[in-house]
Amino acid sequence: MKDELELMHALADGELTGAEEREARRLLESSPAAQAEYEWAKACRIAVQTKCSRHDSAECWEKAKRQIADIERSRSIESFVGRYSWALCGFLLCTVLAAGLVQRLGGRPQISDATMAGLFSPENLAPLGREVAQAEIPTLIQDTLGRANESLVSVPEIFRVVGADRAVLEGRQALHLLIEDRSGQFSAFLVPGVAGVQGFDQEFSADYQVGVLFDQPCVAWSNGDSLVMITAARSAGELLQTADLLRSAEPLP
Amino acid sequence: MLFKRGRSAREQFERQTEAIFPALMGVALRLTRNQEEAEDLTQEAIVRGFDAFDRFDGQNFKAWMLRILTNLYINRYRRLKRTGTNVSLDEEKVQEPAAPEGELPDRAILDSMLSADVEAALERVPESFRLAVILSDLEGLSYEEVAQALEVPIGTVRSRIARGRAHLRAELESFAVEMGYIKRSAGE
Repeated sequence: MKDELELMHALADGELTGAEEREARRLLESSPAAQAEYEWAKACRIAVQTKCSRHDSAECWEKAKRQIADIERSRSIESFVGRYSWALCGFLLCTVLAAGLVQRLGGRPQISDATMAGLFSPENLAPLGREVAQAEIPTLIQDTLGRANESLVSVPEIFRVVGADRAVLEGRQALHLLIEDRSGQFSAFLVPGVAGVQGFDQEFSADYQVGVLFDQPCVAWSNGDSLVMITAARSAGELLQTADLLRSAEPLP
Repeated sequence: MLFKRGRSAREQFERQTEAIFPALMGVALRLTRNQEEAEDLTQEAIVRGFDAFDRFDGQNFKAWMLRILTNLYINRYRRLKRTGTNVSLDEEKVQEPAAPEGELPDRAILDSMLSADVEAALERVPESFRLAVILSDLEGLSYEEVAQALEVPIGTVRSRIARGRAHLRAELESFAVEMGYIKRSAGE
């Protein structure tokens, strides 16, 4: 019976063909119940079609369209990145390599203030404890830095090197000199192949970088291929004057 | 037919979707019974449809989109069911409507009923049957297209439509009795 009723609905919906349709039509003619179901199926279909409203929402459709546009936009970006990722990676790699090459050929790296602070560790800071003859200084500087450094000229009446030490800083042979002037002693560090100190600023002068390490003012400047940094228990202003004096000294012979 | 991605695919999708948008909204509204949820469901279905448009076989866009929408709804419903919301899509658990004991609401009575009455009666038809009736009677899909949209065999569609209409008849009948369009049978 259930199948027969389903058959009537399918017939009313025009969904039957061939043998099934013939059977349904035979049933329709012979069974009043089947006929009633058939009529109901048709009436129901028409009632739903005519009585139930169709819904629309322009706002909802607009929102959906915006979402589609967003999806397409992100897809095109993804597609671009996917398609040209090798090129982007290559470009990035080339940029890094080029920057490295420029740095190696033309520019010199900076060294961090934390690394410079390593020079203050007892092992590196300890002077030799022997008085260094002024005549030894150029050789010492040359041995360490590979060539004569023009800035740290010893002018006996102004500066006197009282101690010297070598330290290794990031694979570089750094030189530490303990120098005495009229205000007392100060330390001078010479680091080859370095242009400046990261973390120091240049507020006071374009020529100098000024910073503080272990609560002690430091003044650094670039001199040829090397970095010179001086530090002492004196004010930054006094250190800058000292730096000026050091730089104005006569070049080494 | 597989569509090429790009501007033309988007335009093609939008053009086809716009044509069936009222159908999508109507089905969503009748499934969720809530305007806001229906709009969400429709939008999500459209987005999913666009996402999968390159996999559309080009046969019947309306049935394909309705399948996406109903699947979304069913998945959402299943999530709700797991979280304890008390609704059921399981047709095995749906109580069959009582066989008509009195007069059936005939065509004239159906004609005299307001749209709201038919809508209200339709809303009370269990989910899976209602969906089959809506897709067939309101959206004009063939049984085969309904089967595609609901991803069920065609025999199931036939059964759901017959049972859905039987539920609708029972609902309309009780409404017609209430309104005095038809008399209650002697046994009641």
